[in-house]
Amino acid sequence: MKRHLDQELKKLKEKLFRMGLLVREAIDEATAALFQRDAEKARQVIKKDQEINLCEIEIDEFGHELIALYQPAAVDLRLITMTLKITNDLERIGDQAVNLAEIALVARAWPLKPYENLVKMAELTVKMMRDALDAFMQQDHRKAKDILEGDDAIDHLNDEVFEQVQNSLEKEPENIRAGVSLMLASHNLERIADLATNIAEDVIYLKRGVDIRHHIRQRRE
Amino acid sequence: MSPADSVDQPIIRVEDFDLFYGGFQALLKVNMSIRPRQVTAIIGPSGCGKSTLLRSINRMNDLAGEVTTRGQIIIDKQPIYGKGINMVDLRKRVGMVFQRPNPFPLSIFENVAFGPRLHLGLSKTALREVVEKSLTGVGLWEEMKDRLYAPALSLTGEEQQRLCIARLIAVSPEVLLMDEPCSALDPIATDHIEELIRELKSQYTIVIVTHNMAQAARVSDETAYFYLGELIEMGQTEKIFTRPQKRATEDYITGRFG
Repeated sequence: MKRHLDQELKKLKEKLFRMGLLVREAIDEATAALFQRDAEKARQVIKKDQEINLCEIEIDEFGHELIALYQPAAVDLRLITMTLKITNDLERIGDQAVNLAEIALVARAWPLKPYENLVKMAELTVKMMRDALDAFMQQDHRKAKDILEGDDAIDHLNDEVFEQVQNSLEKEPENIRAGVSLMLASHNLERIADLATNIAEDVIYLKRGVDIRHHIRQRRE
Repeated sequence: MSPADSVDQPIIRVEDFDLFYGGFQALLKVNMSIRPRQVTAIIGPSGCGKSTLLRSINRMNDLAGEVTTRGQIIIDKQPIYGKGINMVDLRKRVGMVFQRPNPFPLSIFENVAFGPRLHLGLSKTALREVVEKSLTGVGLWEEMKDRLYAPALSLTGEEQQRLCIARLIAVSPEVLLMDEPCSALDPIATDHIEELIRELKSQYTIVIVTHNMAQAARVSDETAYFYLGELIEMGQTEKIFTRPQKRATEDYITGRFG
């Protein structure tokens, strides 16, 4: 049976997808600004963040309306509540992109090795974020599960960056500003990967009704 | 049930239960356990057998004629399908509330006193006490105590439904069966009856059939979904309404069914 709610849920997903595209663009631009030292790009990312914030408000309102008007249950309810959570995660990813853009505005020349790791981290993070959004749109819990495994590689790279920056600062303490901004950029990328992981976990809950957060598998059984 | 009995031990067990109306099989090998002092909701589309199952729990179906059954229903360790079952006693232990309130065309007092007078042979004073206790139990005493001899049919729909519940609890049943008890009531009266159901479950085991899924979600602890005479899925209500295990249940709960 065709339901009016199905059309509304489709609209909800489309709104989230549009927000996802904006956030993806923000990360792409912020990392490009960071590595290309492009201040104009960085300023654009900061400016466009308001558009992402407006998407969050719009989706929140629409999701709450659907709950109030349709009293959804089961998979419909999970779709709406998970969309609301993912929206929140996307908004925070947008904020991390702004942080990266702000770093790009003040960044100096960086020590070589940690910089290479940062580029690698940015590539992996952007991919994770893209895959997480695809997993949501396609409601593909297998793809979501693969994403979870990628988070460890990013955590590892982040640890490496910290260690390398510390080592390099011990030898060349005059690079302190560059070192701190590099560590901050690395931390921001690591946070984006965490938030992409949250989105993947939400997709698994949405699709299978199984809550895998915090490695507590037995809790709801 | 003694207070020592664990809430986890079922008070009602339905075992391999089949029911036929003539040649038509309305229930197919139903197996389910109903826990004491909880509300169990039975949901499913029209004709799925939910009311038939409810009426099987106090053998009301026996009155329908041409009904045959296989399997067993056990209430508090006693099989109710078999020889030597005292129907009057069974229906005292397992009372029923219907869609439309059906008070006797008697006074409020006489409606409640009817059962205890028949079953318990009480003195006038004791009978009055039972009436007061039962009307208090359904939240009617304060309003009705000064007009106990008014005709029951002069009450509002909600009051009549409360009175029908008072009439049941006057004979101290173990189980209350409710067949769409709010379908003839407005939303506010429905809300009041649902509140009463929540209060009553501390003392009685309640099985409710409802078409209103939001109501099942609000009042019940466990929900059973029936389709074409079969029990498809039963589980904790919060789980059934958020994470059902079977696709068929999900389709019904979300209105995709059909």
